[in-house]
Amino acid sequence: LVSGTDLDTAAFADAVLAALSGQECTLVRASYADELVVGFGTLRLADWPLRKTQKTPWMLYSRYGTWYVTDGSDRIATDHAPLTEGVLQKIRAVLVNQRVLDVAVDHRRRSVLARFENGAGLSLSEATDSRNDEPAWSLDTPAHLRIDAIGSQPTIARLDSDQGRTAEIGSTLLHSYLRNVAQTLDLEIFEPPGVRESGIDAILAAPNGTILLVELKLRREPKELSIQIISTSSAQQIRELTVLPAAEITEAQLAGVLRRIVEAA
Amino acid sequence: MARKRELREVDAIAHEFDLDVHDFSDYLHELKSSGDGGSKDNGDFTKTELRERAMWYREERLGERD
Repeated sequence: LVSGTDLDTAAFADAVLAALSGQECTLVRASYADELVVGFGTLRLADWPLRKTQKTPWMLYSRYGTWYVTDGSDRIATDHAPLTEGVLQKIRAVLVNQRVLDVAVDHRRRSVLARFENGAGLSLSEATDSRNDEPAWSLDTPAHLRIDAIGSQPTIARLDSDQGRTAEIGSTLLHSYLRNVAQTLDLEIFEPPGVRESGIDAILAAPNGTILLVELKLRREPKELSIQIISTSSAQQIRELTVLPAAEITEAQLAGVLRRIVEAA
Repeated sequence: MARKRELREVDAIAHEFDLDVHDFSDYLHELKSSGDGGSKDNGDFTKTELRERAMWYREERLGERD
């Protein structure tokens, strides 16, 4: 067997953040403890028991990091001052209704800089007194994935939309996800009972004889998801999963990656 | 930093009650903004109050309050 590698979460985060380009900023608000929240895409009310809070498909939270907003030339707001309604209004004036032009990420500094079409910029990065286990920023994506900038390899968690919290280890959700992907590709799926011993969550068999071993890794602390695929025939394609161009690992996208692995065999 | 101390306390309570930390932070922000904040000078919540609000949040989500 060719050995695989763990999901490269930095590369995955890059791909996800790249997909922020073109998104329209629609929301600028605060959360508890003066946390800055910036949203992109269609506005909706958050689920009960929240009553007035608005959410969007893409949500960027400042968490433990330091941040600033520029209007293209000057910094108009930073985390060094209280996040008052007046400050939020200033930020809204330059960011809301503007589309993201591009996003630059530096995982070593845990920084992300979004530039907007009007020249405005939003920067979030680790604070000088930051702790490695506290996210410098956090991004929720439309595919219910959460990227937390923790250490040089961001963590990726799948959000359970029903419960409003990250999925638990070995959840039914992930296994039904794999089963749906296998069905789409007409792959036979075998889920070994001794997952704990083998570490293999599923074995997928293609009609052409290609065998894919799939290992889902979900850690409780930090809640982190990685998907490892070991193909019997191709090591190169394994990395393809880590650099998906789209923002989400949807079932269709994972199916596309697996299809290419099988067809390349 | 006071802000980080508040965040750490919220994260710890959210973890203790298995709540999504973003949603719980937003819930606390709603309470504070609507004048139902905590007993600290600036309306922030003490640890005991955070635990209480975490229980409210869970109960409300399950439809057991209001």
